[in-house]
Amino acid sequence: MRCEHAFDDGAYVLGALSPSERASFERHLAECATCREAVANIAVLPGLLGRLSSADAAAVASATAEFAIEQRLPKLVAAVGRARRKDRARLVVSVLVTAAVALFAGVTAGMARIPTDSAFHVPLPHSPSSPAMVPMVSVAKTYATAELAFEDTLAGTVITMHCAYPMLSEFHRPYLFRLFAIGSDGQTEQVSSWMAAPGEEVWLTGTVRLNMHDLMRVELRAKDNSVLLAYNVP
Amino acid sequence: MDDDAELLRALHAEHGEALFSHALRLTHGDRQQAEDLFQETLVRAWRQPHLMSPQHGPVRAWLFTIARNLAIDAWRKRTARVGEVITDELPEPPPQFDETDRAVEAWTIAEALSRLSPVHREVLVECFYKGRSIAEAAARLGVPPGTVKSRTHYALQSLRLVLAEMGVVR
Repeated sequence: MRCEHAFDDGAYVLGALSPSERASFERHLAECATCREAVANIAVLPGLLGRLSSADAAAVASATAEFAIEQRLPKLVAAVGRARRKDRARLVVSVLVTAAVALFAGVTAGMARIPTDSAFHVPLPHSPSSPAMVPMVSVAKTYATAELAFEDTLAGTVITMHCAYPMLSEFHRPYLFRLFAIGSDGQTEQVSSWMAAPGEEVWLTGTVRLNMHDLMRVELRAKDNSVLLAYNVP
Repeated sequence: MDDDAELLRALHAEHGEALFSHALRLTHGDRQQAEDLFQETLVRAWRQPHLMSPQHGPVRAWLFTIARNLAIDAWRKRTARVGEVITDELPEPPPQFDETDRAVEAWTIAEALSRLSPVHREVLVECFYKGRSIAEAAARLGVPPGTVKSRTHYALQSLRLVLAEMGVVR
């Protein structure tokens, strides 16, 4: 069981706790070895963050935000659309030229081929590292939503999960979640576990030894092991 | 009483010099303020003897954290007096601890930050680089204080992992 101060360590070393909160956390540290260890593990980080100036950090944050996929995606889709139309126009011209040449040649060879519509199809680039996400279905009452992607590899199945836990006025506490993979032989393997508070999103990737065709079901479970969301592998 | 003197002497002998130069940085070279900060830090440390034992992590890291928190309190008090206009510079963060006593360039940290998720980067910019408290950051980001707190926790966990991957920390 985590203690109620489990999240204070970061704010403490960053200097973001108010004096009274800090005093209360320091009193708590006297009794809690887990929190002492947690602070000791990250105490070195402010010193390292300090190597970067505040202005540079803000610049990194805004540059990276501009570079974020959510902002980039609409532009990218538009650019691909333009490129596709351009390619198609070019293709039409070249196909017509080819057809004309073929037709001309066909007069002698007797085999003119009219291109089918599939010749105009320009496939979108497909990235094998980002397979399509499928939603998990809720099994019990929960506000959490999650989607999964699977990738069959020699080592087993790589499972990528995106879980969102919406901001709710009535809940603020973080909850423990666990992801399990269940094989067709009934064996259950834990893929990952994490804490998420309302308003937070989690992306994670884990590998299970099961191959895709031995994988039957993926379950997202609460701390008490009850199943919240599930996905049956087709 | 003798135990007190013993603990203070030991802390002073082992960390006094490093702590004072840390305090000097935090006070932007003001010796008088640095002396005050140095003393207050050791008094706090003496009140928290359970932290001053090496099996609870690097003692120097604790001392530096306490000193920086005190410097931030003083900075917040000064800036609160003049309202919104920040006339004072945020206390400089601590110099390297022994553990990472080697050249870590600014770009390394920029690279590490860029590998964090946007919400984690944002909370570090607010709470560390801009020196905002949890409550201030919560108001600016429009999320509950508890969420800001848990984000600082996870942001530093992720940062530690990224820096470990990059070979900067163990």
